[in-house]
Amino acid sequence: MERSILIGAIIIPLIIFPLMGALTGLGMGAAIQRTTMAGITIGYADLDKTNLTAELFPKILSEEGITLVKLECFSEQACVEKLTEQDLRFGILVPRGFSENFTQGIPGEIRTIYSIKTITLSDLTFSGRISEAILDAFKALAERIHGGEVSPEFFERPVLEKPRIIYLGRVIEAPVEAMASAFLSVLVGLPMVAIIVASYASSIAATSIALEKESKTLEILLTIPASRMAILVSKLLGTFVIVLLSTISFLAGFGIYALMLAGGMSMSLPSSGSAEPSTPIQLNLFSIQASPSFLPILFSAIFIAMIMMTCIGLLIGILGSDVRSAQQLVGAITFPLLMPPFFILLFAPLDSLPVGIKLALLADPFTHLFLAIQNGFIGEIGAAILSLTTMIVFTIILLLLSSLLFMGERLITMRITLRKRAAET
Amino acid sequence: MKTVIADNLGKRFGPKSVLKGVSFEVEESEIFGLIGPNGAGKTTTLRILATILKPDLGDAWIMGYSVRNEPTMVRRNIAYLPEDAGVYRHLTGIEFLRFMAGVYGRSESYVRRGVEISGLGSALESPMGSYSKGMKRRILLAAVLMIEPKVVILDEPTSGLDVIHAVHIRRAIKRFVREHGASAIVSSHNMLEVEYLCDRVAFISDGRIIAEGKPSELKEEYNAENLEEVFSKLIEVS
Repeated sequence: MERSILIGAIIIPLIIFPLMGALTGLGMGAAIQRTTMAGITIGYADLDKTNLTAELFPKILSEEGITLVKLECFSEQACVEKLTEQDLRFGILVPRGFSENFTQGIPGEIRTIYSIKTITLSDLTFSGRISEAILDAFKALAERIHGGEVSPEFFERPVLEKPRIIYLGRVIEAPVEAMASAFLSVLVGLPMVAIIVASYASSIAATSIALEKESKTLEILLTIPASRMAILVSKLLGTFVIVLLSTISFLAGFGIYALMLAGGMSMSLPSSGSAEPSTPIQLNLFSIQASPSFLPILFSAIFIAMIMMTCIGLLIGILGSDVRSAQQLVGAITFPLLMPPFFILLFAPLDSLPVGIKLALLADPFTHLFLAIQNGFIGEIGAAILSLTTMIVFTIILLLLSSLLFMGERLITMRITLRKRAAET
Repeated sequence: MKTVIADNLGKRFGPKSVLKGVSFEVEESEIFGLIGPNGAGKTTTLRILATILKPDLGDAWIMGYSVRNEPTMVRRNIAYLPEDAGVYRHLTGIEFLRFMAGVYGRSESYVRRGVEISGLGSALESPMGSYSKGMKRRILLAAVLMIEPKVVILDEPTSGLDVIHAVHIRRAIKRFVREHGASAIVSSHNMLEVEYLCDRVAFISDGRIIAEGKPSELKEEYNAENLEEVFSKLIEVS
């Protein structure tokens, strides 16, 4: 069997996918640990102060391992402040008159507050699970109080939840599920754009050098009266211009797609368990949720990733024996660098990972690409700039390594290939 | 005047010693042939002279400049045509000649000279991707010669070409050297070609020069009818 098929189609998937699975599993494990319901604490403001709200409801939640911490507040705003003061992620506010409605079989309104700090899948799904747990607790309460004496509709929806999400000081009136969907569109979509642009850059750069090697025009080029650094810089700039044009075109296309998507995100609240079923929610992906610095950081991250991948591509082009080898090397090198941080950071924040995995991810330049996008999105500008700076450092190192190899005769003699070489004559 | 001096050149690739002390000299207005079997060290020697590879041992000087220490100055005085060199497929022949003239800072008159050397006529307006092997070789040779280097280094310039293209190339090389007083170093397998083209030849085998001289002198010394016979006798002896 040809070595390229053996390595590219069989060995790499056999190594990379289990590795990614293991790493993602670790990330998910860490995420699940963070989302275990047992031991979770929820702030609880009981303005109704009846036996039902003060005794029965807390008892049902405690059976699920959820602890309620009483909040002494009399308005929504005050309750939000108390929640923040006590560093609680979730809150329930039961208004006056709730028990009266509830005991008559009329769904009562409650206000839920979700303070979301990170935007990983774990936090978003966990908030969704809390919402479900609260609804389930009220269903259980309805069963205990009414038995079978009220309408099935009441059992199905004994409370009307008015959710409020506090995200980085911003208040968003939306169910957590809708927020999760919108967040993930950005957090999956944008890194995917970065991955595609970056992969394209490395492929063009690698081909640019490998093609010169394969067609033996490189040897002529190396004997013209110009320094090799000048030749390398020319190659880099030439490749970069093509990649830049391609990226602009790609981003323009994606921008139009995103605007259309955002326009289509005017959606209605789901009818079950929500207080205002017919109220439309405007989830503008870019103007409401993202920090004002997000777009400059996003474009900087993609731009630096593009240069970084151009350098990786040049390096691969120098190492490869011909275009085919270079293309195979691009896949074999960039795929394991890009995919693990993308998937792991989707499920769990970096800090929740075991130290070894965390260090391994930090050594991967693309971790910093995704971190820059995430941090830029949530407005952690300092962290985003640190990630961008790290990417620049990686890029400089790659550029130095490329120029070192380009300057020497390894440029001509080095022949790394995934294929079996033909017997040399 | 000696335009090229190779002094005890040695080169190793990993454990394999490819050149084991190659020395020769080339005079002005001289075509020097480097002959030998595959793997003898011809291409490595030419690559060292073209500053693509650095010698592990010894040094070479072209127009007085060391390939080891002054590669940029060497490049200003040479032009190199590698064996089986390719072309930029999307450039037309004339665009390629203009590109090369621009790289060397030469004017349009040099491009016209290139057009003349290539002898490709209207085909120069076509993308080089459509060229035959012979046409590619002719456009590359034209690009190398039109810039009028002091020393031209040609690795197997007619290898794999049909008679018409091979004759055109041999004539172009000979004419260029006579007209410009330049030096040419040519490697070849084709002994008859070397005999026709070269003023002096060196036989290289296993990284060493085993014989050197004018074709007529070598034939006389080894009592041979042509250089092929000389080469056979040399291989038998070695």
